Amino acid sequence: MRQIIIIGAILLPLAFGGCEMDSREFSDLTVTKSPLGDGWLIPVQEVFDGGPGKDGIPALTEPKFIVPASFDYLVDEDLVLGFVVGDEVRAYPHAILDWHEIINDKVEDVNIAVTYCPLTGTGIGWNREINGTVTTFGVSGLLYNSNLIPYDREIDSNWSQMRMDCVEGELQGTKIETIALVETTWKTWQAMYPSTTIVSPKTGYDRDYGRYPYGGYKILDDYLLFPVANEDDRLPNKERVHAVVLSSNARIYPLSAFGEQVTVIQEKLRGNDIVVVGNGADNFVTSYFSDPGDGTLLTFAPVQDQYPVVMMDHEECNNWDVFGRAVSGPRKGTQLRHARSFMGYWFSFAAFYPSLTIYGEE
Amino acid sequence: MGKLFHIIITALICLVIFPAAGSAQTCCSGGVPLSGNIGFLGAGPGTLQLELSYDLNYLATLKNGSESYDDEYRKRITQSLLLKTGYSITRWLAVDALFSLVNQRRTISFNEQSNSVRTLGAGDAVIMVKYIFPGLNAGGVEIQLGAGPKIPLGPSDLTDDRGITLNADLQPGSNSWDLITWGYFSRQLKARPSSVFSARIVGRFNGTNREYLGSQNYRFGNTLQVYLGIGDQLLIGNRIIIPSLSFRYRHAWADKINDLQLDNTGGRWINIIPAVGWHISQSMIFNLVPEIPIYSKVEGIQLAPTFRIQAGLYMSLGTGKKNQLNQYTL
Repeated sequence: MRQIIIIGAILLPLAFGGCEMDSREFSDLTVTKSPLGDGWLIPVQEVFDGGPGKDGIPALTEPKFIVPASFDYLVDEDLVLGFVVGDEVRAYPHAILDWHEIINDKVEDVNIAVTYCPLTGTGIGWNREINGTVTTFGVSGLLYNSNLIPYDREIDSNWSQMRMDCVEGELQGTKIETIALVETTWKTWQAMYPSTTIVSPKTGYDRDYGRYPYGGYKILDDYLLFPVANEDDRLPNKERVHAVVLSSNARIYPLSAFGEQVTVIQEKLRGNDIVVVGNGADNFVTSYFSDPGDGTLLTFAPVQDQYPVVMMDHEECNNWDVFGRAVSGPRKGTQLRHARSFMGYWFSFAAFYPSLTIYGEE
Repeated sequence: MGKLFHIIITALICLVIFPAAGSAQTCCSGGVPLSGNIGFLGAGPGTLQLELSYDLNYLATLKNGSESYDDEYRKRITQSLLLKTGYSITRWLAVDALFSLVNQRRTISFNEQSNSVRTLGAGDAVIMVKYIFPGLNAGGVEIQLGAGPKIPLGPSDLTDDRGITLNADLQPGSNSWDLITWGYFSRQLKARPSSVFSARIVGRFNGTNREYLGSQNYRFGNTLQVYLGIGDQLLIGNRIIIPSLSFRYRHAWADKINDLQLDNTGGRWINIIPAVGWHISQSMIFNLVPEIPIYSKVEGIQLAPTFRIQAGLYMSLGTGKKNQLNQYTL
């Protein structure tokens, strides 16, 4: 008995010993160091361990692509993130990204990381070339405002997907260069780009890609797995919206604001002329700066039933596709600058950009 | 005998405090083995029963429903040091208590690199009051019923070395008050009085952690466990050996977060437990209890137990009748 008491006395202090660890957008490479002095640009007490751990959700690197006829894991209404460069057309389905969150790919000469957070529903293309070095991104297993924190394998710095900058590590403060992706349904994407290829389900990982791994998460508005900094009930939490992020502010365009036809919205946001084009029924919204780069301010009209062409400018009658490229007309080949914009669940934008405004609310 | 006692005790402690540097996700079956370990057999009034044991729960099987994925780069190891005590106040009333020290490690091996997170801390404790049906011993029957609280002594807000709060599955404590209910039945076999058939049922009704990740409500799913087993006592040389074979059925309901059911939690498991005990002395038994899953069906996708093993040193002190068996081996 005496021995057990002695052992207990030794164990208790040890027991309380805590734990130990082992079309591209403009780039602003301004580096800001942590204002908090703890090595993070974001409040570390609002960063949470998601559960699977670092690389517990395995990112894919240069996966195989197949033609649509040879698989059966998607239905027409499933969402994909589409990317086009040159003649190469690729679709990165949510069904794969729900399980891997990041796909490091190389398309033509573009080193892209397709980053997707299932909890915030945000898919953003990132340029993997940072300060002249090509890296790959992995899933850190950490979450900020319920959103993915990728890490770069070259430097091992942590990044915030929705802030689009490095929040911890040597590259802290560096903004990521984003690459335009179009999020839409598999059916619409195929209508836009019938020659598309798609990520093969033979990823090297034994997963059931036909199954959504988060149960009712997409449809249950009150079902959030991690705390978020700011809750805003102006829209339902899981409503899918398009956000244009300028500086540290955002303008929200609910998908529901777009009707059953291609619709064009032009606005001046923080001194920038922006064109937002979308179709609610076909489930896409995308946005660009209206200035084609020579100081001309173009005004646009929607184009119906001619995918991937979605708009035409009044001034010169150029046809523009969903990626903001002039595909016919005097400006053929011109690329509109992609606004820093992406789709996602409403609650996540409210958390990251609390002073955001909503189109149609004014 | 004293030297052997010291060696075993030291080894059990070292296993938890300084775990082997093995390769090292989350699920509802990787936690600290509290409810499955509470409850001694009946002993005479005035008997103090003690057991110090080491429990290793090794999870490396990624499951989707009842299908196992070919994916072994994730491991989770929970090692616990359990101190179980029981005191028989009268012939029909006893109190048991269980204290734990928990070491949890999560390791991901990816692209030939390995990342680990480890937590160490006091786990929660259980205190249970038991009623022992009197007057059944003569027929070789023992029936006990017990109930008590699981007390949230363990921390549930540990952070890693960057200050990041770890998720619920890596916390030693649950920060909730739970209710444990327990029932035990055993009967000597007439054909062979040294053999005993036993059945045990344990229910755990979990409370809510209202401070999960600062502001959320988290409730681990309730669990039901049923044990069925048969054990014997054999005299081999001058040692009494207690072999036994048991089966454990465990049903865990899904966890809830903010009152909404959490996906990828809950499931059903059936394990086989071929155990053996050695009498070191008349009042001391060394138990070795491996546990192997033979069937499981989890909700969604979860990292599930690959195997479990427990080694413990049991002793009884006092004036009461000394039991030669305990619930591990039956």
